[in-house]
Amino acid sequence: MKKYASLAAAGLLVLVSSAVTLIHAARNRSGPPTAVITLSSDELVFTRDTDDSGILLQLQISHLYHDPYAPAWLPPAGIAALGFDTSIHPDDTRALDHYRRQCARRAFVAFEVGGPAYQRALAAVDEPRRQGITANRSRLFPVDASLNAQQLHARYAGRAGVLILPAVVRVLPETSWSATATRAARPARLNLAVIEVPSQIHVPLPFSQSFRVLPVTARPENSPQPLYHVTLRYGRFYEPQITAVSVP
Amino acid sequence: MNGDLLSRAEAQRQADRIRALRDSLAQLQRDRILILTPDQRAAFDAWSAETLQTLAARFDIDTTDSQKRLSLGLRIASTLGGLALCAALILFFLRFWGYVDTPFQVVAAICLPLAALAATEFAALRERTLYFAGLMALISLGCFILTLSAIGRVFNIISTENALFAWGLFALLLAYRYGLRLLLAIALGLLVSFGSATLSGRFGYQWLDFSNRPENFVVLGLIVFAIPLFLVHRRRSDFPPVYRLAGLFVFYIATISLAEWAGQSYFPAGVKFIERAYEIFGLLSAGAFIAWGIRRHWDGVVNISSAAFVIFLFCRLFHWWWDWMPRYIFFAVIGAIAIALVFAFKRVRSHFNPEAAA
Repeated sequence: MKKYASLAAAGLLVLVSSAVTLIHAARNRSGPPTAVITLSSDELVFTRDTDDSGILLQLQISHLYHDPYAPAWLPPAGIAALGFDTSIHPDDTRALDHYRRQCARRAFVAFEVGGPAYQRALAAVDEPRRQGITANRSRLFPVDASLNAQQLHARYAGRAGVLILPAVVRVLPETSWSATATRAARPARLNLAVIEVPSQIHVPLPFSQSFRVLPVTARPENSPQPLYHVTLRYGRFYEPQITAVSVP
Repeated sequence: MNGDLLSRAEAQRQADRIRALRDSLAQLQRDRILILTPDQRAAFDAWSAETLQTLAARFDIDTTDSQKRLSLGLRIASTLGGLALCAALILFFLRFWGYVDTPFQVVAAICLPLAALAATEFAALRERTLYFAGLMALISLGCFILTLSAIGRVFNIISTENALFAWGLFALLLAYRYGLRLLLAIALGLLVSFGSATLSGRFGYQWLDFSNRPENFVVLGLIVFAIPLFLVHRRRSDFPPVYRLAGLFVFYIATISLAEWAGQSYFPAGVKFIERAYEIFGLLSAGAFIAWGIRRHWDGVVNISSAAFVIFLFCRLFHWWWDWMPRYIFFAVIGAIAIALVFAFKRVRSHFNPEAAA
């Protein structure tokens, strides 16, 4: 029996690690959800892969938040609260090196779908740039960040269309510019880039059938309505599960 | 005597020594330096033939140069075959898994590595050279990576560094069970990555950015190097060199990257200062490892440290002279330094030759 101990250990490792992963998934889905939200094909992008029969949706956040014309979405105090060293002013000559040396950090970010923050940012961007921005139609816009998820839940309790997700963020110094005929002056500022959020969402059967029969994977330019709506239920570990799909 | 042998690697080394002794005796006899009597010669020939035969029968080792060359080809073929079959199996799974229900996906993902494990054991029982077992062990690891990735994807689980630990442990178990050095090197790579990712995660950084913190790898590389100093490998006598080489490889790559760009260093000092410090540290540590390797007869350590020493030196010269020196002079100076190094190494080498020293 001792002869097969290491073989049994390898087999057991496969079973135990799979069991741990399945228990984690079950725990995530048990209990009350952290969010239930319906998103459209603008926020959940579907791409076909001929080598992969699984259907994946990619959660896309709006790029508008890091547009140079858009207002900063998080004040410097909020950035410092995430653990970043903001002691050097972004206009300082040492700023680029100082902020480049700071690695990305984990935090929780609250996103809102097409809310007032998104509208403000959209209004601040001039028309030609706005055309480019709408190529990425997502209206999922970051509005707040914290190291503590409960804090964010308390702040946005009862507010519909808010999604709190674990994210990877990075501090970015943005240099100042002076006023020209087409734009107002802007002082140097710190911005927070959302490097990563859990974005891949697997579509299980029977929902995946709806996606297989779609004639196109992206909304045509002139189409007034999205291709599909997907309802997501985020569990206690902020991992999503598809609960409904509707294709008009 | 052969009963004392513990591993195939040791048996191979003993066979090599016997073959070398046989060749040397033949040469000495031809040069009329040492002439054995016919009885002695017959006894030696009988002993060497019997010993080689016994070793070959028990461990399936190479007893001729042609066999050795073919074995290398077999090892390369089995590694490439293992990787190709891994890719084929994973792509096959991905091509069809979307058409089945979640329970079936999960069961299939769990059964794949278990089936591959059974096939590895079957191959190992049937063949002592372990080419097929090595190939199947690689496939088992690939299947286990697929298992956790597939379950993670089905349930949209946020990735963590813990999977690296499970995969590394799995590869380590297979490496020790079947004596597979490639699996050991892969296991060490996975476990070092896990260590670095865990450290990154504990400091509040994204675990996937673990490669951006080279200092983690400096420490972990040294730990891997030191493992065989504390862990005696009686059965797997060919494993300590893998630990040493893998550890030093990680250590030097991390140190060279810090010497070239120290922007991600934990130290709060200026980038230029940290880069210079790591350059000096790298040169000194390479020199120290060369000396240690020579004393302990660790050929791999001497070779990899010599290469690292030259890289550190040339990087420094590049920083000093590339911008202001005409290119032809720069390369001429590099060539002159290389020649000086050859002379220096030859002198060092002659110190280890007892006749020359005498």
